[in-house]
This record gives sequence, structure tokens and C-alpha cells, in this order.
Amino acid sequence: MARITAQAVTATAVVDTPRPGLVGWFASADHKRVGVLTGATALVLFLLSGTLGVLMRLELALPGLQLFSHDAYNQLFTAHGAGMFYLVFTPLALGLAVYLVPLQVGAAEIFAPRLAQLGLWLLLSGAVTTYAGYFTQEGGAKTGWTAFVPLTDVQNSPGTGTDLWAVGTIVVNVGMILQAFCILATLLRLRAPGMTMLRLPVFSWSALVSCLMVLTSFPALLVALTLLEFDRRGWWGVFEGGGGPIAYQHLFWFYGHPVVYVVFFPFVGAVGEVAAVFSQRRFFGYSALVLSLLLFSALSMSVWAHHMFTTGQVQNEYFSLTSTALLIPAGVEYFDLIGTMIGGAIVLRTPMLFAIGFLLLFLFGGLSGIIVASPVLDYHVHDSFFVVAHFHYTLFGGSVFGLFAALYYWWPKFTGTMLREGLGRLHFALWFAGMNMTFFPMFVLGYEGMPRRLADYSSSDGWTGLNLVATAGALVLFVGALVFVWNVVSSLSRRVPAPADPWLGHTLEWATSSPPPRHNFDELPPVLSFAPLLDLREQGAR
Amino acid sequence: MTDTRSEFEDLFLGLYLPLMVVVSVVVWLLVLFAIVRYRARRGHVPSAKSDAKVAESLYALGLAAIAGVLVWQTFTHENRVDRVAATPTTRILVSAFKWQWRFSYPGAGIPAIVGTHAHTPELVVPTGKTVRITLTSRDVIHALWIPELRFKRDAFPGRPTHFDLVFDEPGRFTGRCAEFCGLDHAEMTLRVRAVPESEYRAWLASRRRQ
Repeated sequence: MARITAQAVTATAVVDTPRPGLVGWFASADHKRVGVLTGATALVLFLLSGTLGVLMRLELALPGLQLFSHDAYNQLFTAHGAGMFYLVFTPLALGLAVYLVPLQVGAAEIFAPRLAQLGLWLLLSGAVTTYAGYFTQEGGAKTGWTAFVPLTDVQNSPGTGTDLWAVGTIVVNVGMILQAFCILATLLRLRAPGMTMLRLPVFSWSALVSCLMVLTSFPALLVALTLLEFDRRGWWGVFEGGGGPIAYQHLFWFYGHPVVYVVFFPFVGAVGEVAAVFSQRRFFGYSALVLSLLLFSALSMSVWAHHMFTTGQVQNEYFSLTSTALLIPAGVEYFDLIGTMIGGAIVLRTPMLFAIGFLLLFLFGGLSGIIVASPVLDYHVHDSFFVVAHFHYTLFGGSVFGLFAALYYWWPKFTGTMLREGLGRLHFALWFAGMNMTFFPMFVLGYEGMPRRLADYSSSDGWTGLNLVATAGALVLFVGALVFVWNVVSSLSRRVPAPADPWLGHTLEWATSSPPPRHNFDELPPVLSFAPLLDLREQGAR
Repeated sequence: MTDTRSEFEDLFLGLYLPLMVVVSVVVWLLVLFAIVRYRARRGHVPSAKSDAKVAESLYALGLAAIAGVLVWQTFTHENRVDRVAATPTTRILVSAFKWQWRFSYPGAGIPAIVGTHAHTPELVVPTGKTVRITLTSRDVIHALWIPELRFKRDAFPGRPTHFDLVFDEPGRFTGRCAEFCGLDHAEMTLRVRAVPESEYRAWLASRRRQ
């Protein structure tokens, strides 16, 4: 293994001559630059898609149409949802892994670096293609991120905007499959001497199961959208006729359910690392967590039709059983995360605050997920604001809080500078409050009968008060995001240099400079467990 | 007789919601306890224990038992909700289209009720009887949702679906399209009026005379 690593170093030195400036960044196959650019692109689009969400909340604050037409609102929620899934969360989850996995396993390079770089370029070109649709005559895609047929066929949704959206989404996800392949191959083939599979850091394991799901489920999306586009061209007509609409839903959700775990697990892994480092002890229940991640990802491939309980055309019992069974691995993860904190010596820095926020907020997303896994209960709350509340507690309370735990934690490694602690705490406080203000009322709204994807409602529905609270919460979230942007700008303009290991980390990425050199490591410590740097400190103390 | 609302409430208020509240409180208290009790202090050494395999295995078995109870209760309730009667008392065909509803009462000899943008259509049903709805769509996928009954079902083009509803009490409710169906989805509402059997017959008779 040591020899393979050394070869990788010399090989990259030949193919990769650093160029100055932005060209140097985009031309570089260095996994760190590819990871940073993938993540930075997605982070900018996160702020954009989030702003679209705030605009939706402004429209829904009061009954009646104030800011947008029905048509504009439909484009808005499509751009928000599709943007978040295809252009934000998937690239963020994978971009983080492209950067971190080679470092965590002690490799000099990612497997097939040019392929990972191609993934970035496909993300960029697909994003441009998708957004170009909004500048066409009929406007952009307006049938939701799910693009069900026959609503999205050419008769019901004419216009180039929808075609550009479909093609752009295909291009982006081809790129994501490439990056997932590179990460998985790195984990399997490029580990440092001593780094056995059961010594992989928690984040690397979470990246591994995510990549397994990407490789098995994303092709279903490519097939669904390609056939959809062929139908729109009038070439094939696969989804026309009786079974077409339900067939499309099966294909879509075979991608669409695993993807919500793809954009969740890497952040669970990040929260696990943060919880251990800021509790100043070894991660608790490592092998149980690895088992639960594997079980979780295996089960996640068999739950897709719980999105289709109300179609009356699937075997509800089976999908209810597999979906409810997810509470077992999820409960094990909570056991391990809280078990790491109990008995630790907890330091409440910003990354840890976001990790604790993740634990407290994702809880409501997970628990409401058990509710919608029951067909009888789903018959009422399906496609209502209850479901909107549910998946925002999983994706905002879970993934986004986990993402920001990761960003505040690894920012010194990525950039070589420290973020401001005070601004980080302010950001956390605003988001913790704003998150609950925005999304908790939606549980009640949905239960009371408010459907999702609704441009307008009537004052006689009695939903005005809760909608106003939700909109006020969205503005608090917006201010919190501005605080984060300010933190980034001020940390990059007035630099406080970061040491190699500012947090007393456990894993190999902290054993090299911040940011790491092109070849990642000058030397590696011995790897005897999943926390090699903690081992060294414990030996030193003895 | 499929009383969707009482089946829903029995399962949700009787089992799922109380369980969720208890779990939420326990987890929040545990996390807050950990933060307060295990904050880093001078002289406090973090535990060196890195797993508890027996305890965690027992805990996982406990989780599996909870999942088992939830699934069992869900299945028994769903069997009752999904069951369709052999001989329903009233049959109504509901056809959804962009962005309105059409109700017809086969064999009743009355004209179909078709909604327009200016006039929200009204579905009139008898209370205490099994109402068999046959739901279909003329264009894209819609969904008929009557929040009062805690029930919805998708309307697929070319694939009619059948289900039974029971309205316990007389009253007026709002129904909606729950599946996003294009431009005016937000306007696709209907009214539901549940009336006693005698009044229902009188309503049919008056419709016949029109």
C-alpha cells in the first residue's frame, strides 16, 4: 500500500502543473480544489435556492396573491426544491467527501482525479443549463422537482424551459455518479497502511454508504428523465397510456428516496466526528454505527413506494414495514451520538452547537417520518404542509445543521483561516429559533388541511396566523444566512491563520497543515484505530 | 362501513402521537442533561469507554419491538380503511380535470354536477351510509382530499380507483386537490355537504325535477 501511495504522488506531479488564479483552480485535478469548488458552487446555489424559499414564504404570508402569479409561484417552488436536491445537497454531500475522504484515509490523491474533476464541470454546465430555462419565453420548469407525468409531458407543460431543466438535471447527476465512484474507489483502494475498513473514520463510512446508494439509485433518475425527454420530443411515448404515470413514479422514487439519505448520511457522519472531538473522547459505539449505516442504506433501497401510498396501486404493507423498520438503525445512531456526549468533556464551540442542533431538530423530522410511514396516517397528511414540515426538519434541521457543523469544523482545514466564534454562535441562535418558527407551524397547517405546492389560500381557511409566523421565521433564517456570509467574508479578508489541528482532532486530516500541501501528507502517523491522532495523544499522556 | 376519521384518530391520537411526544421529551432531556452534566471542567477526565455492546444490542431489540407494534397496529387499521363493502348504498363517480371536479350519481337519474371557475362544485352525500367513490382523472394526476375525513386518494387518468367513505355527522366541509396539477392547482377546491338520508332523497328528487 505504501508504494501505491508514493506512486500516486509522483504521477500527479507530472500531470498537474499549477496555474495561477481562477484558471488554476478550475483546471486543477487536485481533489481538494475539486472538492472546494464543488462545495462552493453548491453553497452559492444554496443561498440562491434558500432565497427563493423566502420569496415563497413572503407570498404565503397572507391570503391572496401579492407578489407572484400562479405561474410564477409554480416556477418558484420547482426551482427551490429541484435546486436544493440536484444542485445543492447532492453536490455538497459529495463535494465534502471528495475533499475529505482522501485525507481521512491517508491517501495522496483521490482515485481517478480527472473523473472527479469532470464531475465538477458537469455540475457547473448542468446548473447553467437548468437555470437557462428560466429565461425562455414560457419560463422554466414548473412541475416540481418530481416532474410527474402526464403533467410534465409536452401537451401539459409545453416550452423549452422544461426540456432544459430535464437535460440539465441529467448532466448534473452524471457528474455526481462520477464523483461518487471516485470517492468509493478511494475508500476501497487507496487507504494508507494500517487503515483497515473498520478503522475508517465515521465520516468516511457515511460517505461510503452514500456512494453505494448513489451508484445504485441515481441511474434510475437518469432513465426516468431521459425517457421523459424522449417522450417530450415525440420519439418514444414510453410514459403515455395507462401504466405510464405509475411507472414513472416507481422509477423516480427508486432514485428519490435513497437520495434523501445520500444528502443526509455524510452530515450524520460529520456530526459524529464533531460530537467525538468536542466531547474530547473516542466516538461511542463505532461498530454499531457502521452496522446501522449499512442496514440503513440497504433498507433505503426498498422503501421508495411509501411516497405512493395514496395511489392505491402499490403494496402499501410492504413499504410501510420497510419504512417503519428504519427507526431501528436511526435509533442506534441517536444512541451512539448521545452516548458520545454522555461521559465526555463537552466544549461548546460553534461546530458542536450545530451538531447539538442537528440532534434536537432532526428528531422531529425522524419521528414525523415514522408517522408518514403508516399508510392510514399518510392518507391524511400526504402532499400536505405536514409533509413539508417533515422533510424540512430532516433536510434543514438534519442535513443543513449537520452541514454547518461540518463547515465550521473543517473551515480551518479548507481555507487555513479561522471563522469568528461570536458570529458563528449568533448564526446558530438565529437558525435554531428561525427553523422552529418557520417549520413547526407547518405540521399544524398540514394537519388542518393545507396542501403543499399552493400558490394561494383563502382567508376563510383560517390559516393566516400560522402562515404569518412561518414567514417571520423565514426572515429570521435569512438574517442568519447573512451573518454566515459576513463571517466568511470577514474571515477571508482579515485572516486569522489556522494551525494544523485547531480542535485536537482525531482523524488524519488534522495530521497535516491547513490547508494541506498538494500531496496531502509529508508523513503519516501509525493507524491503529479509527482515531489515530487521539491514540497518539493518549500514548503521549501515558 | 369504513369510518376513515375514527380509524385515523384511533391510530394517531391513541398510539403514534403519544409515542412521539414521549420520545421527543426523553431525547431533549438526555441531550440537555449531557450538556449540563458533562461540560468540560478543570479536572474532569472524559470516559475511556468506547462502546456498550450488550446494552446497545438490547436497546436495538427494544426498537425492533416498537417497530413491530407500530406496523401491527398500522396493518390492522389499514385493513379496515382499505376494505370496500360488497354492496355500498350510494355510488358516486368523481372525475377530476384541470382544474375542476365533476360528480355524477349513476342510476339516480340526475344530471352531473360540474364545477366552473366561478362556481365551486358541491358533493352531496348521505350520512351514516357507505358511499362508494369511483375516482378518475381526465388529464393529469389529481388527488381528492377531504381533510374532515382524514382521507385522500390519487386520481389517475385511465385508472379508476374505488374506495368507501362514511360521513358520521351532517355538515359542510371543504375538499381539495392535493396532487400538484399545474397552473391553477391552488384553486381546485370542492365543497362537501353531508345530509341525513331523508334530506338526501329530497335533494335527489329536486335535482331530478330541474
